[in-house]
Amino acid sequence: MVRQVSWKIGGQQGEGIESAGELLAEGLSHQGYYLYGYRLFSSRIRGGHTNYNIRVSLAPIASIADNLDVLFALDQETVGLCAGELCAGGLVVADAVFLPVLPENFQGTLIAVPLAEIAAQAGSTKMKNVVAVGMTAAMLGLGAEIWEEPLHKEFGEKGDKVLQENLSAFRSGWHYAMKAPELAGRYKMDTGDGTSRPYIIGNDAINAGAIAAGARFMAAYPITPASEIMEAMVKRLPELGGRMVQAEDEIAACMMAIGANYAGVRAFTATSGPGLSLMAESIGLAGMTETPLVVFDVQRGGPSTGLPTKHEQSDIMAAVFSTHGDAPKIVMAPDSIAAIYPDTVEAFNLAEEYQCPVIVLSDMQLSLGKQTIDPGSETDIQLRHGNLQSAGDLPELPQNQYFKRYQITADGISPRVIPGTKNGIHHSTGLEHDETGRPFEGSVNRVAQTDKRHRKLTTVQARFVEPIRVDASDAEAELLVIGIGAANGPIAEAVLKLRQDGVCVNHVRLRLLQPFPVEALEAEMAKARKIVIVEHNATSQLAALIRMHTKPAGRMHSVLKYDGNPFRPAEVAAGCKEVL
Amino acid sequence: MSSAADFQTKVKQNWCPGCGDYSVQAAMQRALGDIGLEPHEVVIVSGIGCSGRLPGYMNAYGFHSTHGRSLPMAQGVKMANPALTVLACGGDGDGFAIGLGHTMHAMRRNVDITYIVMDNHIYGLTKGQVSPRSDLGFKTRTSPNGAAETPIPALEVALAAGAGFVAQGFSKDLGELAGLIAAGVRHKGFSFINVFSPCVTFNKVNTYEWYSRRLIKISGLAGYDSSDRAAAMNCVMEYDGMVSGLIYERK
Repeated sequence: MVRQVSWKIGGQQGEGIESAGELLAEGLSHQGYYLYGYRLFSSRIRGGHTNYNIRVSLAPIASIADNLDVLFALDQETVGLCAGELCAGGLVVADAVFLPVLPENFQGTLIAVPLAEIAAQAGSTKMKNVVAVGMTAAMLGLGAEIWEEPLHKEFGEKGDKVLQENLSAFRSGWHYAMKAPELAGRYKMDTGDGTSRPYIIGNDAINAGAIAAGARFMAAYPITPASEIMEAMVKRLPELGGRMVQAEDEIAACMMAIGANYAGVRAFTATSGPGLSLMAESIGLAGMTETPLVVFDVQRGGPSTGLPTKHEQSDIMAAVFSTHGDAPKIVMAPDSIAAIYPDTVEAFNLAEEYQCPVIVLSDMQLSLGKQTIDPGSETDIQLRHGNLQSAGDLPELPQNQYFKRYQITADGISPRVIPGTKNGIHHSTGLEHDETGRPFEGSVNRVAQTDKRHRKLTTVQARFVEPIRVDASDAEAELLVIGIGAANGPIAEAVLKLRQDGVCVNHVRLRLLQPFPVEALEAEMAKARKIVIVEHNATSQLAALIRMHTKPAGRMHSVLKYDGNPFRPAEVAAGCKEVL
Repeated sequence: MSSAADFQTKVKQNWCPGCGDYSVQAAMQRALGDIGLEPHEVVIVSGIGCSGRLPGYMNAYGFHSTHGRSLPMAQGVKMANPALTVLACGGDGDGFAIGLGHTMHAMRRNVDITYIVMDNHIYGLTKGQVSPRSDLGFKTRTSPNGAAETPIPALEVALAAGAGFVAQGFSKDLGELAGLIAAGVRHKGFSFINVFSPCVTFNKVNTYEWYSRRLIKISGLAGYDSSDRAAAMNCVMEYDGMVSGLIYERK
């Protein structure tokens, strides 16, 4: 009996690698197993190596595993590229058709199986991916009948012939493995808890959160790894009376979202680093005109076109600082796939309450990593609109006078009206302006308006749900590990491992980057003798941001990874041990 | 019912005396009043440049956005709330240099807004640099040897990009311009109105007199059919863009 298995299937793009992983997951996620899936793909559609790693566990997981237990290889390239990830005693199950050989000095076991041959007997060699999943089921000690429904779901619409062939391919693979002593039940797991859990990517959670938040307009430009969001919204929004527009570029997308928000409809855009760069100017306009705006940035490898299909967290500084001038802005970073949904709703609330742009930093691992989510973890949704005035609230405006849309107030938040509201006519401009919005460069007014725009943000931290999320069992720790976004998954696992090894270690997930939660973080930093900041970039951007805001600590260390791949828990643990 | 006066404010414009933009503002006020719109039902979005200040002189919801980006902003407003009457305005640099991409895409997207370009063939607010509408050989601070690039043919671009309403006005003819703006607002879909709006300070070539000598009224052309796109394109090319009036409206 094993408690977790890390499985990977690899081959050429177009060989059904993704659908094999999805089929495996579809069966397991309804049996009460926790799953974490991560795909490797490249910027081409057909050809080129691709693989799909699924980790199956009896406990919740938010990270890839340290090592692979089993690798299904549809070609020799996969063996060469991925065999090194296997644990001691790991297994390569390869299609006999390409006469697989193990790399030199590799200690694991290679088992050649007739994937293509079994698939051909079932109707087509194309179904070798389905045969592989059938074999996997037998290796996990699970019955083939569990996959009847997933197979119907996947192939039912493609006609009875296709369905029957795939059912046959799956069963044949399962029977083959059941008869092979070195495969049958080799990774037999305890029975799952029986709970059916949605298996979703982070971008799915962004979609659900945006809909729940009442967002009804999206404008965007296609970009990996954020395109799933516009693809979902183009279907979902019209059902709700809304609209998704594919703009001519990210500048237009951001400006359209600003226009829609100005007109009173919750609106957003979603992009990745290159798009965020183009949006910088518009984000400043939203800040200056105090227009709500929500921008999702799903970070990928930069700079420039960088690594478009690989993971990185190198837009931290760009999100916080890229706009010119002193633009008011909120930057938040959900710390898990489960956090994305409530955090997305909150982003729309904050944008409206604080009348400013809100950038939600995701990353490729968080947005495209796929994970089972416990049902019912969604919090109650509250929509807050802040100081939004309706026509009934407004006294008649004197002839030819504007409403004081930018009124200087104690909390810095001015009354907002949307166009179409009687007695609310005002001007909005990217120029410095007076309380009615008219351009005005007077120095006293300039200072008063600037101060107002920043004063309003002073209450964000108090209102924000957990600016930092703390796992600090000890008031005095040897080590504090700080992480952001998806890195918190492997960090959490590394922390458990370090504690098992007797290290007294705390973990902080930083969730709000602007305004920065100085006091909350300093309090946690003070409890630890040494601090490690774990992030996916080369220039320690998160560490630099922390240093900029907090009292000099002088004991901060970085564990960095910027090769395009997510951290493994053991890498984080090793980095921490080096510091200790 | 409203009138032009309802769209007026007491704010003094920061335009030079004689600037063509005064007439565009007055024509816009007259058109909106003639249609009978209430000021709070109207949103005017502008870009950056002398002309970009126009919404700030109107009694209507105004949004002075960024350089070249008035159109995506205005489309966002209209798509979010189709009950609003939305106009966008700016200069020739705004619409045909930094914002040309947005201009063409707005034309093919056909969102129901009216776009007015105050075309003076020069960059006025930055004190006299060459514009994408400057004529070949036009000397400015940044083209001391004369503009080396051919001007963007604004009307041809609009017709080619699929705009369903294409018109051209002149600041000297307020009546014609107000009529064109009203027709543009009434047109269901994207309306493009290019307005020759002379810069009296930095453009000493393309003056009121210069345009007056060249412009031909399209209404005076016998048998002209403004619903014929090919004829419209021919006419614009034949007269090198020097025509005023309704050039094309898709029926």
